[in-house]
Parts: sequence; C-alpha cells; structure tokens
Amino acid sequence: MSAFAVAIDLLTGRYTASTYNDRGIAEWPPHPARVYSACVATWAEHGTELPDEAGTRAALEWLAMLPAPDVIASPEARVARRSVTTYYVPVNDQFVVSPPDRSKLDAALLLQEQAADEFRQRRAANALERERTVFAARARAAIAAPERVTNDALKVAASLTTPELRGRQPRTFPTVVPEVPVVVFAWEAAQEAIDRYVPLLAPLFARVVRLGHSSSLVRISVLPPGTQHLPSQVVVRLRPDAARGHIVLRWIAPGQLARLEEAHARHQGEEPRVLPARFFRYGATETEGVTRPATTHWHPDAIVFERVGGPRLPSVSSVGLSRQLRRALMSVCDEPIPPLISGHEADGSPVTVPHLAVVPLPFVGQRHADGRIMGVALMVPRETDEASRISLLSTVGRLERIARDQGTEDGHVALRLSATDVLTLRRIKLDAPASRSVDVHRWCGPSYRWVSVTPVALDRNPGDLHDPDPERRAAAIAAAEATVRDAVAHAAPDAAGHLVDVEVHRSALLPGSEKPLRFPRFPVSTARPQRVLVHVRLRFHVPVLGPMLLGAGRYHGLGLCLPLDETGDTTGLDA
Amino acid sequence: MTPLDLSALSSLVRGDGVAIRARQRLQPAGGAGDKLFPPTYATDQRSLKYAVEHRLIDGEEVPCVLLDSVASQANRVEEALLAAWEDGTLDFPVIGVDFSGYADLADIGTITTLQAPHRIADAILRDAIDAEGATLFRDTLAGRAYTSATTKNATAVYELCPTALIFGVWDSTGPRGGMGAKFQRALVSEIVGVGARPGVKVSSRIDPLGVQANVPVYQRATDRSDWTIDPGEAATEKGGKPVLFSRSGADGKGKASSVNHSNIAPSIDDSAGGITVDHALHTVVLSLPALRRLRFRTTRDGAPLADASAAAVAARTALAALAIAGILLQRAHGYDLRSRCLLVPEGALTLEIIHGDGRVSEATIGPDEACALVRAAAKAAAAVGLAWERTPIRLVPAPKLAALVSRSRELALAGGEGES
Repeated sequence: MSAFAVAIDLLTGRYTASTYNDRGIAEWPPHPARVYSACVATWAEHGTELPDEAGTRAALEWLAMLPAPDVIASPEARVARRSVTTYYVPVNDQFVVSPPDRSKLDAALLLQEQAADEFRQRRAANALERERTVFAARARAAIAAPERVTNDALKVAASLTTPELRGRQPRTFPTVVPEVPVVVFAWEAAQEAIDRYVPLLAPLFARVVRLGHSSSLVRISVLPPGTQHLPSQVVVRLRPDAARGHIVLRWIAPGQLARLEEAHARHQGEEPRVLPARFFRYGATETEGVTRPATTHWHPDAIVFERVGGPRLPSVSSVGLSRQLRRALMSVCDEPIPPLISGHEADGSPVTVPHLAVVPLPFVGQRHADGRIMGVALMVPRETDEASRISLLSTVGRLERIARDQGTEDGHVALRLSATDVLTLRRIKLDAPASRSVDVHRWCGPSYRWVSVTPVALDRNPGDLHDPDPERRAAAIAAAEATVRDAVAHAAPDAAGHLVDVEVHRSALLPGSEKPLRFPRFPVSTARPQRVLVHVRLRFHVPVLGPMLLGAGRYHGLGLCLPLDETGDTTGLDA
Repeated sequence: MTPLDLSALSSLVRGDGVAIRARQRLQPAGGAGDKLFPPTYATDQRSLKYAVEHRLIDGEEVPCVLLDSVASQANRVEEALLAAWEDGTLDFPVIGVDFSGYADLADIGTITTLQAPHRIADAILRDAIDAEGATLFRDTLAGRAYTSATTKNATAVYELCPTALIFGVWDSTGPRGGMGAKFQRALVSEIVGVGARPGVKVSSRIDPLGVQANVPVYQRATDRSDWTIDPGEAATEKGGKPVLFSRSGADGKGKASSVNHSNIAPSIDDSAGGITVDHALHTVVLSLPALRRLRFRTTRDGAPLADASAAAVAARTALAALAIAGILLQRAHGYDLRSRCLLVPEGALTLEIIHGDGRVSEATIGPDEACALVRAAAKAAAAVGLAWERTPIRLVPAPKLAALVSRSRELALAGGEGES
C-alpha cells in the first residue's frame, strides 16, 4: 500500500463551520465528509471545464471507497475558539408590491418566437398584445398608491428605507483560529489507483473555493509524495480508533456521490438539509498533551432509535420501556434466544458477563429540558463479536419488517405499550440524528466528570439516607458511596482505579432529570428486594469514554450517566 | 516585489493564481496603547460582550477581539467604492432607487446597490420601477436579464452590478424563489485586535439645569408622545390617577430622566468598557477560484460571445481589479470603524499573491494605480464582448412604496398607527 495526502490551506487563517448537530459550536478539525461534499459540489458545477469530467467522477467514486483518512491538524488545545455571538442579518423577504403573475405573458412571448408561419405569427401577435394589455393593467394596479394602509404595510415600507428598522434574522458563525492554518488528510491506497485517480482529483481540488461558511476560503491541493506534512510538535495526527477514539469525525461510505446527487435532487440546494455521512471515532497517535481515555464495558457505537410517534414518555418510564423493547426483540429473534439479548443462559440463570443494555434516552441537561424520552439506544459490550452484532441487527431488521407489513414507514419499529398506545421508533442510520438526546456520541464523552440522568440502583442497601441521626445518616451515605464505587468497578473496570470523587444525592442533578423517589420500584417484581435509588456525581482523574451505565438497573435504563466537560457544564445544548 | 498591472493580474486569473491577500497591521489613531471599542453582541443574559478568541501565536496564548466582522467590512469596502463612483474616480455600473422626486422623501436621496443590504436582489429594487414610471424593475429588460442569470452565464450581473459578484448575492426571494441564482462572495475581509486587554467605561451626567430626579413627569393627555409636570394636563388611568410618562428605551418611568433631564449617577461598565491591543490585524483575501466559478456564455440579449473563454478571463480580471481597488480605497478612506475605534495603518500595504503550488510572491499597487487598473480591465473586457452598462439605471420607488413611506413618517410624527 502507498499513501497520498491532501492539504487544506485556510486562506483567511480561520475556519467557520458549525458542528453537524449544533449551530452554536464550531467544528474542528474539518470533517473529511464535508471536504468530500465540497469537492462533489465543485465537480457538479465545473465538471465540464475539467480535463476529464467522467474520469473525475470515477476518481470521486474511488475516493469514497477509501477508508476514513488520518487527519493532521492543530489539536484542540492549540485552537482558538471565537466566542459565539449572534449576528442579526437583515431580512429580504418583506416588500410592499406584489408583482403580477407574468406566466401568461411569458407563454405568449414564447408562442410568438416559435410561430412557424405567417398565420400563426399573426395569431400569436394578437394574443401577445392582449396579454401585454392585461399585464400592464395589473402592474399599474400593483404599483399604485393604496387607498387603505395597514400597519404591517407601513412597517415594511419604513423598514425598506430605514436600515435600523429592517427585520433581522439571528445567525451565528462559529469560528476557530488554529495555530497552524493547514489541515492534512492522509490516505493509504494501492499505488496503481493513486497514480490513476489522484491526478484527476488535483484540478478539481484547485477549484474548491470554500469549506463551511462562504467566508471560509480555502486552497486544497495534493501534497507531493514524501512531503513532511506539518511541524509535528504543534499538530496532532488523528487516526480512526473505534475502541478508544475520543473525537468523532464524519467520513462517508461507498456510493456517497450517488447519495449526494439524490439528496440534491430532493433539496435543490435549499436549507434545511443533512449531509449523509458515517461517524468515526478518532484518537490521537501523538500523545503529547493528550491523555488516552479509560473506557467502560459498552461500545460507543450503539444502535439508536429516535421516537417519531406515539406517547411522549417521561424518564420515570425508562425501565418499563426498556423491558418492552427487549421483549419485542426476544419475540422475533432466533431460538434459542441469544444470552446477549435475554441476559440469561439457556438454563435460565443470569449471564455473568456484560450483555445488551436497552437504554431510553431522555431530554436533559438544558435549561428547558423536560425529561421526556427522545429515543432508545441498544448498547452492546465492547467484547461483543461480529456475529453477535450481526445477529442483533437482523433481529432489529425483523421488527422493522413486521412494522412495515403493518403499514408503518420503512425503517420504523412499532412498540405496543397498551391497548391504545403505540410508540413508533425510527432507527438512526447514516444521517445525523434529529436531536442531541439521541446522538449517542453525546452520551460518550470522554469526560473527567459524569452525572447520573436516571438514578443508580444500588446493589446493597446502604441504610437510611435520611436518618435523623447524623452519625447513622453519614454511615449510610458512606455505604452508598462505597456501593457506587463497586458499581463503577463492575461497569468500567478500566476507569475504577481513577475514580477520585463520588457524591450521592437523593435529588435530581440536571434540568429535566427526575428525583429517585419519582421512579417506580426496581426491580418491578415484588418477590425481589427493592433497590435503593440514588443520583450520583463522579469525578475521575483521567477522561473516561462512555457510555456509562451503573448499578443493578444498568441493563434496563437506570444508572444512565451524562458526561460533563471540564467546567462542569453539560455537553448537551439542545434536545 | 513587482507592481500589479493588467497583464500580471490577467495572468493570475487565467492561470493557477489562488488568492490575492493582504495583511495589514494597524494601530489606534490615538497612538499605540490607546483604547478601542470593538463591536458588541447581545448575550442570552441581555448583557453585551465582545467576540473574543485566545490565539496561539509563537507558542503563546494571546487574547484577541474581533474589531470588524466580515459583513461589516464588506459594507465598508462598498462604501469606499460608492464614494469613488460618486466623485467620478471610478466608473462602473451602480443601480439606484431615487426618492428625490417626492418632496417629503427627498432626504432619503438615492439608495444604491452598494448600500442596499442584499444588493441587486434587495427588496428596495423589487419595489422600484423604471424612471418612465410604468414597469417594475424585475419586469424591465435589465431586471429580467438579472433574474435569469446564473453562475453558468453571469453576463447580466457583470454588466449591471459587478460589485454583486465580488461581495456575493443570492436572489432567494425574487421571481424564482429559492431557486434564484446564488453567487458566492469572492472577497473576505476582517479586522481583529491582537493582544487585547479589557478596560472599563464610565458614564454619568450632570444636569446643567439642576432638575431634581424626584420631579414627577406625566404623559400629556392631548399628545401621548409628549410630557407634562402638571397633573391637570396629564392623561389619566382608571381611578383618575395621572399616567406616568415613559419612552421605550429610556429608564425611569415617571422620572425626569425619562425626558433626558436630571443627573445620572456614575456607573462603571466592565463588560463592554473597551480594550487596548498590541496591534490590530486587517486580513483581506480575494479568491480567484471564486471568480473562476463565473462563466459568461452569451451577451445580455442572448447572442453567443465570439470568444467566451477570452471574455471570461477579461471579465474576471475586471472584477479582481475592482475588488483590489475597493480594498485600497477603503484603506485610503481610513479605518474609522465606529465611535472611539479609529485605526491607522502601520506601514505600506503589500499584496501577497498565492499561487496554485503554494508559492507566495509579493506585489504592490496604490489606490490611483488600482483605479487605473479597473478602467483598463473593464475596457479590455468590453473589447471582447462584456461591457459594463454605460447608461446608469435609475429607478424610482413604486408609488405604493413612496405613499407608504410618506404615510408611515406622518404617523410616526403624530404618534398614530394605520389600520390593523
């Protein structure tokens, strides 16, 4: 295998583009999927001017088949993020004159141009004259001073001539200024393919004007082989790392060119639209200044559904919903039901290794969060082999087929909750999730601090956490904290040794989260002892890569934790 | 360092030139270390703040503050071009809507495509008619030619409003709706203060008349926009109580301060109290690939161009020249960004030419030479079939627009409203 690299020079020294799921945060580094889209858009517009239009298309298709590239760029610590401010851009959709429809006049003009003989020309001329007369009358009426004036018309008129009065639309332009205003993408590929396709891509790259916002001007070029890419002491080389990667970047899948063409045929270049992409976890190969995160038992790549119809359930319904979805999966999977899904061996005994967690995802963490469940994630342990993952996906596929046969849309799952209530879920595939609550990356971090969203079910009863006697109460709190430490050891043995601080709370710790007392008893069966539920706040002295699920209810939606950033604020900004 | 002449510019446009960039250091007019006031932006908490970033420069963290945004800079370059057009230094097509025919609106003067927020696509031009008074702009030959222009055939925009191709325009609300042509900006400019340190601002007022703050002020019954201290002349609410006077944007309902009298106690503002900087940096980039996106296939009336390729190079060169002239004219006008934010350049301006292979060479040109370059480039483009419109397009407001503006002014003075 050989290598080739492409450099993106930020000509203005800065990069203005928002992350795929939050217009208030600047994206860094530029996602390779975005660069591919810019190349496709340039090809679509300038293809006929390129030395080999068809060949360039083939080259773009080949590029989409390559694995996600390495990305060499200034690390986050060496990037300045401009404080995000709101600009108010004057609107242009208000006017006082409604122009008359000229479609009939244009049709008459066309008819006259196309009239083949004298008879048709005369007839077309007469028709045109009539349409001109009608149009002129309508135009006179449209521009004439009005007899009655409305407040709205007055405001619009005043705004057109007085700039301070014109309506404005808020916009943000999240911007970063990296120390080194160059980003390099590096791929490995067969030398023969590089020799064939890269020279076809070079003239296309030279035509790309911008990346992200229109003010983010760039120069994209192919680097000569063997070039020292960038001064290594001030940049970081990020490489796809599904197990330990701590940054999520978007690349694409084969067939992306066709996908983009299809999407363009639908949206015609108008907002809103979503870039079809695949999400890859990247980790730094250069470790200077970058601490590799500890991990939990669960793999960050979960199967996620978002709620698209049916009742809006509160987070206190998490366990019930988790059980319903697991039952639905078990009802359609092959016999014997895999322990990964059921959590039990063939003889009915509980499995002793981590298995599938069915985790409802509530809307929490933001000022107006209301805790309603926005979706459900199927989280599998990191050690899950490929065959088991495929089996799980096929089981999900069966649920989707059943729902389709019953009349719901393709790719949906219908979960009957009661005689009258059906919850409809849609599996999130290549495109970006509609809300941050169902973006699994939001739940993964990495982060030094974590806080529970649904309470942790303690494996042992710590005693009365509200005991009026201060000594007994302190002992109960200490026992609860010790149990939480054990829970971390079970769920994240890699991180347990780095746990610095545990706090146990009986109240909710995040907007939208509910206090433990509002949750139904767990476990549901009264034949088993009820677990004490507490919220927790954790601090580690290394970043921990989630998802983080703790306690006895961790497979059933309890003990779901949210990563906080280093300032203690939640990473979530929107639902 | 070579002078930038027509041949060199044309060669860059035709060849592999990527960008023409200038990075100019500036200092406050009051001297190094004098305070500057950047633009402020509202936050969720209703306070004002600056757009701050902490850059890493030579390995050290340096706080920086945005002094003039991309959009604001575009407006300033347009203002500089407008001034040059008005005084005859530069001659290029500018479309204007002239309000002088209406006596009560004469103060508005002419609003040109260099002033209208959305340039040739602006709503003001959509609500304007030709000087003969019969045809909406978009129904005139010129208007229709603009409406049907695209990046694949940008002749009409080049000939009628070339500055729109430099600063960008999107006809998103015209006759073609969201399918209206979008022309990407080619010129990007921004000014940042480097090495920013925050200051504080103090404000207070001593009333020369010595009016006391506790004198009650009421809304006048006969004119609600006026005030009185006589309760007998005041408007009353239920129960006969006089209504206290207030004006939107003014504090102190019912107090003398709401009518700009009495003292205002001193206050200190430390969130928008100005900054000092080591220097300011003006970065401006003209993208040549952005100009190369523009193609010119036909004349404005649809006839094929004799040599479309040569015409395209010539037109793009003229646009590049006009953009460069705009940069230099703005510099010559001075960097008076806002109250208490006047900057002066440190040293001469050098243009960096960024080539396709990454090489950077340097060039110089002064404002007069830049204007001469514009004239030469425009003439060369005209010679190959793309000529700037020589007859100024003068529009007037549609009678409906003029009537509504007049009426809104009358009502604003009288404090009334129209119908709901």
